[in-house]
Amino acid sequence: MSVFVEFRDVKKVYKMGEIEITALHGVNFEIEKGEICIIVGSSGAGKTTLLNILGGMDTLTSGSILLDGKEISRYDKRQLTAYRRYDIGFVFQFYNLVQNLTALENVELAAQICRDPLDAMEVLKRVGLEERAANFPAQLSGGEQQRVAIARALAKNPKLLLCDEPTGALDYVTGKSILKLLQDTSRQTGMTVVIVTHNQAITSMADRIIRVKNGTVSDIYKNDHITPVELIEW
Amino acid sequence: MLRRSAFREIRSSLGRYLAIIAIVALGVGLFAGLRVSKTAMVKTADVYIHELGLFDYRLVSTVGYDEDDVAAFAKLEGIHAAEGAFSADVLTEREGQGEIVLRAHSLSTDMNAVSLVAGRLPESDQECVADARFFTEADIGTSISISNLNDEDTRDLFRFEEYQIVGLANSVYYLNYERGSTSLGAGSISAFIYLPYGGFDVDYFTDVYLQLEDSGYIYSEEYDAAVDAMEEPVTAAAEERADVRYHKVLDDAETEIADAERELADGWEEYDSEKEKAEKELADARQELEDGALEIEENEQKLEDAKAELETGKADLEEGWQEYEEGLAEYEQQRADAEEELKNAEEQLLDSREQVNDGLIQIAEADLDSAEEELDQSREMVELLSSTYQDALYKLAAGTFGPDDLAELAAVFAQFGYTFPENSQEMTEAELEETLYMLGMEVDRAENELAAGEAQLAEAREQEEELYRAQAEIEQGFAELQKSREEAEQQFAEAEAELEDAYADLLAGEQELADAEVEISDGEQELAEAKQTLADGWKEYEDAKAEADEKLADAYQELLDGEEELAEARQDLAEVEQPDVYVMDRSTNVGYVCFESDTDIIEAVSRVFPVFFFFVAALVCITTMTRMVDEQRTQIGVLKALGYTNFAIMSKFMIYSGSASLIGSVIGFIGGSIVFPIVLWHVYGIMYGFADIILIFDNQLAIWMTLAFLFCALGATWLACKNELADVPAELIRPKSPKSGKRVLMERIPFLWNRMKFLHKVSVRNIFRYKKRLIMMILGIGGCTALLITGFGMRDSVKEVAAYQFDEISLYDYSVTFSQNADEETEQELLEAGDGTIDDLMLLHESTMDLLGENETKSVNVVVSDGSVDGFLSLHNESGEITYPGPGEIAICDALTDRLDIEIGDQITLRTSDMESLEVTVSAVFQNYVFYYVYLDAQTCLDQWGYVPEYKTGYVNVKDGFDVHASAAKVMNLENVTSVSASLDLRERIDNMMSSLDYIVLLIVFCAAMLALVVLYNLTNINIMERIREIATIKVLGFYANETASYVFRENIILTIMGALVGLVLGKLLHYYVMSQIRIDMISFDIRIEPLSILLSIGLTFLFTLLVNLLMNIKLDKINMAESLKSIE
Repeated sequence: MSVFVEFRDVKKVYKMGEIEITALHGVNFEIEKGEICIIVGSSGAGKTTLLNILGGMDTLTSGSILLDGKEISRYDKRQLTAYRRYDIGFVFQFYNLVQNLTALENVELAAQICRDPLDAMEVLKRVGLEERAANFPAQLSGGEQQRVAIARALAKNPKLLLCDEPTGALDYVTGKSILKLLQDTSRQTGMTVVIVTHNQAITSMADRIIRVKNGTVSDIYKNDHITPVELIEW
Repeated sequence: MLRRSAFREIRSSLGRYLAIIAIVALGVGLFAGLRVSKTAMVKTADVYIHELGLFDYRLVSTVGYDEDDVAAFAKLEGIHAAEGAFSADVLTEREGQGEIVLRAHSLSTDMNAVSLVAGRLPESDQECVADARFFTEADIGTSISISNLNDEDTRDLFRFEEYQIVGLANSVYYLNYERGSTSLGAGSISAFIYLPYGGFDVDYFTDVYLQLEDSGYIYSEEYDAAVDAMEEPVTAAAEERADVRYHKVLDDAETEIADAERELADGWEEYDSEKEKAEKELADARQELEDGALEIEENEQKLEDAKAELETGKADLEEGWQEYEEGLAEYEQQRADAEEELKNAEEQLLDSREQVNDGLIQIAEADLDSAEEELDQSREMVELLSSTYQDALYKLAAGTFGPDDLAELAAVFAQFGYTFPENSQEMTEAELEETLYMLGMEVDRAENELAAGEAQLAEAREQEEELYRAQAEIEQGFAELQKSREEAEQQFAEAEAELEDAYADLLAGEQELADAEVEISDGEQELAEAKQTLADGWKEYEDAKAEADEKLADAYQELLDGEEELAEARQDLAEVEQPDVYVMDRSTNVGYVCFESDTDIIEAVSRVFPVFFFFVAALVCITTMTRMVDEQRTQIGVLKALGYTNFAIMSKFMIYSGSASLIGSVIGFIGGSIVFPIVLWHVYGIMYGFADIILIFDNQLAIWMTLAFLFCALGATWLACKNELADVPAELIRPKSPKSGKRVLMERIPFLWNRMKFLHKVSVRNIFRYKKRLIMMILGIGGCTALLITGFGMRDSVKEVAAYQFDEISLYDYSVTFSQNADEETEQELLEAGDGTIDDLMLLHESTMDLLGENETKSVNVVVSDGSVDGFLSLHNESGEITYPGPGEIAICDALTDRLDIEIGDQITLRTSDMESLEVTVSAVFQNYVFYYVYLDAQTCLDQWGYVPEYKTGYVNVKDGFDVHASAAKVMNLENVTSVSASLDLRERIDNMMSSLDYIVLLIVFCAAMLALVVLYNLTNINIMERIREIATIKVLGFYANETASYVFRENIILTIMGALVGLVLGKLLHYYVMSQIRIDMISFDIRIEPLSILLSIGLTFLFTLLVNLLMNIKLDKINMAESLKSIE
């Protein structure tokens, strides 16, 4: 498989007044197309920074990032927005659904800004929420909300699905069902999925695991023994 | 700790804090400012009125008052002071200016005093201070002269003909711009002047002014009560004094009439005697002149005679001279002849004498004695000879002869000189014969000669004799000659003497003639002089006669006038009724009354605007605080979990909202109390502006408003906090479960809903999700629009007033006021004076009358004409042109229908200043904006009064292309024209006046803008803060910046549209209300809002929204997408 995402010597320094905090000290890794990649690390290790940069929500200080052969690290603000719009699907820890929109509408919200969106109802069906399509987020459970969030991300038909602690706000069972959904989606559609988490346990479901520690990648390896989600326990 | 937290909160949300302060300040400022403005203005007026001593009572009686009366009034209980004053309306002239009507008042320092603006107070009776509103500082030093057009009575009131302006002043008597009306000139008073009482030539007062001992605050109930309480005693006193004065005046008048009668009688007497005298004198003079003429005639005859005589004398003289000349010539001739004769005689005598003498001499020379001797000798000889010769001849004959005879012969002959030839001896006898013959001959001859000689001698002797006789004769002649000469001499001398006498006589005659001539020429000269003198005399006589006639006629007229006057005076006296007394309080003073009603305008405005503001401000304040407490929910939970008491936790928010309200209130109160009165006073300066505004800080108001805002802010905070604090900490720490989404009504209309763009649906749903915010936004924005519409609408209602009036209603270019009734001749004169610039003109009557309403009497401008107003006036209302009222009808302007509650078909009464009334039916109502106009038909007056009031006004239209002012100036020169006023000027004046209302508009627009900005800022801010996570999320979703902005601001824009629509309605109502509250006499507003103003108001509202959105967009941009990753606090 070809290299889909490539980080080359990525550094990120935050300037807070006179103090400089280096969040990433030269990160290098690659992710191949269709892989489920889990970036794992403890709080403050820099995994969120990584995610932000990869998701086009933040810029890097030096180094370069390539996605599908395009150097996104050289994008300006507008290009980054376009990148987020067309290439990235984002799943938040707290779902971040628009409270004033129904489940279907939340999906449509994302879909209607894309060039080649999937049918919102189809996607909802795929995440198993066709019956809750007309419900407002407040009327849905956390798992259901996260499913809507995933549906919203998928409806954009992105090149890369980024998930930030997708199970963080969910209970064990629900979390697992969400992970299953992500895994299934990746398998079925060949979508590249990057999951950021602090949860070691779920790394076993990934194709590739990147460990982050103190702003650097401490370990990268391909998982040869992928465990089905149902078998993962934490 | 919590206090520090509160301050940190303030710092971190400075924008919101400042916004709260701003909106509180705005609300309080506008409220306090507008509320306090009236108080400040009234206070200013009160101070001014007290300082300058505006009267409390004004007493006027038809008989006037005098010093005694004033003194009596002053003694009344409860009266602080009384002062007599004099005032009169008068036509005046100023150099280079037209005539104006001024009201001249007597100057007082205590009552109805003036406040100097420039210059000084009068120091002499011939100085005055003038109206600062009308005159400028440049007029100081110039003079106002009493016009000759005033009637005599008016002119007599003034001691001088000119008064010098020495200062400009405002008068407390004239608080506003109105100067009142008059019967003079164009009917309105242009300005006042104050001069010392001594500047008037009067001995009474027209008014007596009283001041109460304790008058109290102006317009207060106490004051009204005090004035009411005194009304009875004052009225009683006024009537009593008037009665006293009436009798005094009556007595005086009777005395005066008696005096006048006496005087008149004397006058007649004097007139008669004077007339007689003058006539006699004239007759004498005439007689004298006629005598003179006669004399001159006689003298002329005499002179003629003398001249004729002179001519004859001259002819006689001429003759005399001729005679004399002839006589002289004759005399000379005679004399010459006589002399010639005498001379000839003398000469003859002399010749004769000479001849005689010569003869005598000859004779003497001839020596006759000797000649006689000689002759005797010769006779002897001749006898010898003859004897010899005879002897010889005898001898010879005897031949005896022999040579001795010959020698004797020869010797004798030789003695005779006869020589014998030589050979005589030898001579033959023949020869001797011959010689003897010869000798014989000789002897004959000698004998002859001797005979002759003897004859001669005899003759000579005779001659001698004769000569002697002649000589004697001559001597006799000489003597005779001498005698005749003497005689002639004698005769000539006599003739000469005679001639000389004649000459002398002639010369004398000539002299006489010359003298006579001189005398004649002198006579002629004298005569000419005499004639001249006579002519002069005649002329003098004629002049004297004319003069005398005129004087007499004048005297006669004067006497007649006097009689008439007397009759009038008698009539007047007979007609003098019991005096009318008027007791007037301040409610009759236009300035005083108007000031109250005009300041009421501000109060009216302050009743609407500030409350509106106040509510919006309070609402915003409440929303903001509620929102803030909501945001701080987690913190509250934490604090509560830490064990802080509810009060302690609440106090943080209380400090925040309380301090913001307090600061805002203080700023607003102080700022509003200063800015509003000053700005409004400036605006009112057009009408008032008699003193500087006195600022008032109404502490009570301040406290109440601060409390109100504190109550709102703290109450809102408390309520919000109370809600939050009611929850247990655990609940609080957890994020508040998001409010559920809701379907809106519109979704139930699939037709609409399905057609909407997805994002629009989102916006719609968002808008209706927060009802509180929706109402807030709509109210805030609507309020802003409403205020703007009101502001601009006020301007619309005001700004075109002059244009409407002068472009659509009063179409004439200028009006002319005449000093006398104008007729067709005047019209003609005017057209000529206009020099081709005048297109058309109409004559009419224009004056001020009182229109008696049910509750109110309004002074209106009455136009009386024959109705041919086309081109000069366009009387119309919304439904089109109205017809000019017919007889018994009246057309009134629309403002009067509102003010006096009159409708078409109503009977109304008009009253002139002379108390003549007209009863008319309202036939039409027309639009009019400047002044109150009513129109009447001339027939109406003719029917009810029996006459048509004088047409002293002309409306003039200037031909296209000619300058109105130039034409007006040409017309101004006409004698009959007293003033010309161009519509353009009036229009400009009104425009100026109206334009200052722009200040208020500006103020309102500014307030509205501030309100809009603050409200929008606050609400948008709240909106964004509430949805920051959502916004971050959609940014992450890849919404472009503009998409994000429109996602958020679309709501704002929709809300703005809704607000603007609400504002439109609200604004119209507010505008109508405000306009109905604002009343300025003289101008009626055209209550309307132009589409442009509506557009502008809405546009501005959108602009503010846009501005806020732009401001917020920056904030939006700054929203970190990482926010979306954060957990819900």
